[in-house]
Order: sequence, then C-alpha cells, then structure tokens
Amino acid sequence: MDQAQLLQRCQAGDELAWEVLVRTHQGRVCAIAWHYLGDQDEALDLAQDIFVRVYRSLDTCTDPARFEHWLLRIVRNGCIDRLRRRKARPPRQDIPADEMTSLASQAADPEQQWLSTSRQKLVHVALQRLSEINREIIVLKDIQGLPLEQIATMLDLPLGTVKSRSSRARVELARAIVELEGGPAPAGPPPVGGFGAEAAS
Amino acid sequence: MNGGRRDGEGFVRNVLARTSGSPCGRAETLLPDLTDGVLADLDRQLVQAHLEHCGPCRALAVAMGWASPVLPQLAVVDPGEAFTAAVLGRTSRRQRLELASPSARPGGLAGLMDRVGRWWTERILVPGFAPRVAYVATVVLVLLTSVPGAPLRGVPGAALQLMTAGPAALPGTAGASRWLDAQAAQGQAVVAGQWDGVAADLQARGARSAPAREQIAAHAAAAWRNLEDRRLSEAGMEGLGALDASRRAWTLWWNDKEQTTGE
Repeated sequence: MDQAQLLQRCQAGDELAWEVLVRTHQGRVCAIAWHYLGDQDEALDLAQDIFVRVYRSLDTCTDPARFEHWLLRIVRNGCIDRLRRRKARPPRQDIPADEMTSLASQAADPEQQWLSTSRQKLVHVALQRLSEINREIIVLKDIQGLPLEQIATMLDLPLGTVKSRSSRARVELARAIVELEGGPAPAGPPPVGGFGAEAAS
Repeated sequence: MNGGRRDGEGFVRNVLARTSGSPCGRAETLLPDLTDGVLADLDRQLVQAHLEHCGPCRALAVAMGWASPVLPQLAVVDPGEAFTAAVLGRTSRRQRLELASPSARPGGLAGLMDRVGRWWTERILVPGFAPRVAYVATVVLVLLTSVPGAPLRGVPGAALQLMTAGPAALPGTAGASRWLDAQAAQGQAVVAGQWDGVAADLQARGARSAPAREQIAAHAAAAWRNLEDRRLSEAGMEGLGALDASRRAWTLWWNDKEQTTGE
C-alpha cells in the first residue's frame, strides 16, 4: 500500500488506515523501544505511548516520504525521555523472595517469544551491557539498518563521528559477547611476559 | 615445539611492548571492515596475520563475525494482537477530530487557562523539577539576604533574634508597636465611618462600567478565537476593540459619564 495515501487517510481520520499503519510499524517500534530500554513490559508500554503521540501529531507530518524518519525520531525521543525518567526515579524496593515466587508468571518467558535462537538472546544481553551511545548506534545502524547520514542527522553528530563510533560500538559489542561466552578477556593487549613467564604458565 | 612457539610469541610481545606498543588497538579498529569484507587487501592480510597469533583479537573477530548477521534479525518483534488492540483502543476518531478542529477546543480565557495548565503540568513532570526550583529559590534568597549591599541584608539576623528573644528584645519595637496600634485604630474608625459611602460609590462605579467590561471580555474572546484560526487581521481588529472598550471602562469607572477625547 502506498505510504502517502495511507498517511493521508490516517490524517483524514480513517480508522482502517490507522490500523494498517499501526500493524505495519508496531514490530519495529516495539523492537527499538525494547533494545533501548532492555525491559519488555516497559518497551510495550512506551510503544503504546509512542503510537498515541504519533496519532495526535499526524498532521505535523507533511512529507509522506519522510514518514519513517519522522516516526523513528519520535520513537528515539520517547526512548531517551523514558531513560531519563528512569534515571531520575528512585530505585525500586526489593521484593521478598517468597513474594517473588508467588508473583512469577506461569506463562512462558515473553522474551523467549521475541528471541528465537540462543545467539539472538546472547546478542540482546550483550547489547544491554553497552554504553548508551554505543547501544543507540548499534540499534539504529546495525539492527534497523539506517544509513549513517540519517543517524548523524538524528543524533545531531558529524558523519565522521558516527562512523568511528559505529566501529567502536561493534567492537564493544563483540567484547561483551566474548565475556558472556566466558572466552578469553579481550580487553586491551595480551599480557606481556618473558620467556620464563610464558613457560611457567 | 609448542613451547618454542610460545617462547617466540613472548619474544614478539616483549619487542612490541618496548617499541610500537600492542597492535591490538589498531587491529580492533579494522575488525568491523574485515567482518564486512570491505577492508583493503594489504590491511586484510595484516589483520589476519595478527589474528593468527592473538587469541583475544581472534575471539573478538569470531564474535563479530557471527553477531553481524544476527543483529538485523532483531529489527522487528511481534508484540501480539493485544498490543494492536490496546493502541487502537487508546486512539479514536473523536479524539483526533477534537485535536484537528480548533473550534472544538476551549476558546478565550478558558482556552488560555487550559494551555497554561497543560504547559505547567508538562513542566512539573520533568524529572528533577523540584530540586531545580529549590536550587534557584535558594540562590535568590542568598543573593537577597547575604550579599553585601543586598536589599534584605540583616533580615535573617533580625528574624533569628526575634525568634530567640521575642519582639520586646528588638530596639524600638515597643514604640513602633504603639504607633501601629494607633494607626490601625484610626484606620478602623475612618473605614467604619465611611464604609457605607465607599460601598455605594464602588457599586455605582461597577454598574456604570459593567457594559464596557463585558465588551472587553467579548472582544478578547473573539480576538483569541481569530488568533487560533490564524486570522490575524480580524484578531487585530478585535484587539483594538478590546482596547477601546478598556478605555471606556476606565473612563466610566472614574467619571459619572463617558468622556470623549478632544476630537
């Protein structure tokens, strides 16, 4: 379906067009929110808020060709805003162990549904270990496949900075994966030792 | 044989440590391009030669190699039908029409109060709002009371003295208190004597200026509606009407009859 027509119908208040728009983009919006926040429930909650925000400001999207860019910007701003609020929020109180047992859902772990392979799970966990800026660049470039120019515009950074940060982010992700796999510590150069030290080890 | 190889590795590391430093950092910067297959031929050979001898960098390269194709698989998730239903439930045509139509929004003073209220609600929901306000208030208080030459300098000291020793301890307090009592009594007498006349006068002024004040409200509300509809010239005309009504209200408040300007 043509994006421009769909957007025009949505702006005119066509509920069916809006439903199609939601179904088209909900997977991507939820995935981005999930990778930013790391928590599935919070991501779903935020994704709902984002769609409500999109619905209310549909009229401000005047160029249908740039709808996805416009949407991604709203998603990213929502995630950053939620992360800021989370930092400002006092830490939650610990739940007693017996209460935890009763609260535990009997249903399958929802993240199991979103991560089908062990490698996807490992990458997702490693992603949460990255610094915020590196995680953001991985999410936008390597997961969502956005061009570097668009990321630079979105993050308001020079293109060269985004390129170099992208390389560093991938190295940091690989390092986190190696640590999670229990492999050799790859941080920094290998230890320097004399012949005796090598032989003794 | 293996021991000899390890000895050789140790020798190379020692030499590198005493000369150029570890090449791992340089290798790491090239690993993404190597993984993507876009590295220049010579650089590729150099990095691969390094990887043959460096376990940590090799582990990084292996992890990056299998993680790169996995990342795009995480681009989309399936939130389920419940999510779609929840979003559609929270977004309705009525809500959208209300937002799209300026006439459906409250106009005039109510609209202004509504906007101010929403602005204020957004501000107080910003994390850290209360500490920031407290910080600014503290700075203002310190500037007003503690900086040399400040208008309220000495007030905190006097207040502390008042709290600890009572009002009688302040010099001149008794005389000031008597003077204030006398002024209050005199004022009360004047007010009591003249209240009826004042009240009647206020009522009369209010009655004769009421039509003009109603016109002010009507013009202001019309101007606001025009502003919201982006009809600037009409809004300007209504604003002028409101100003003219204000002038008449002011004149009628202070005079028995509306005075004309000297035209």
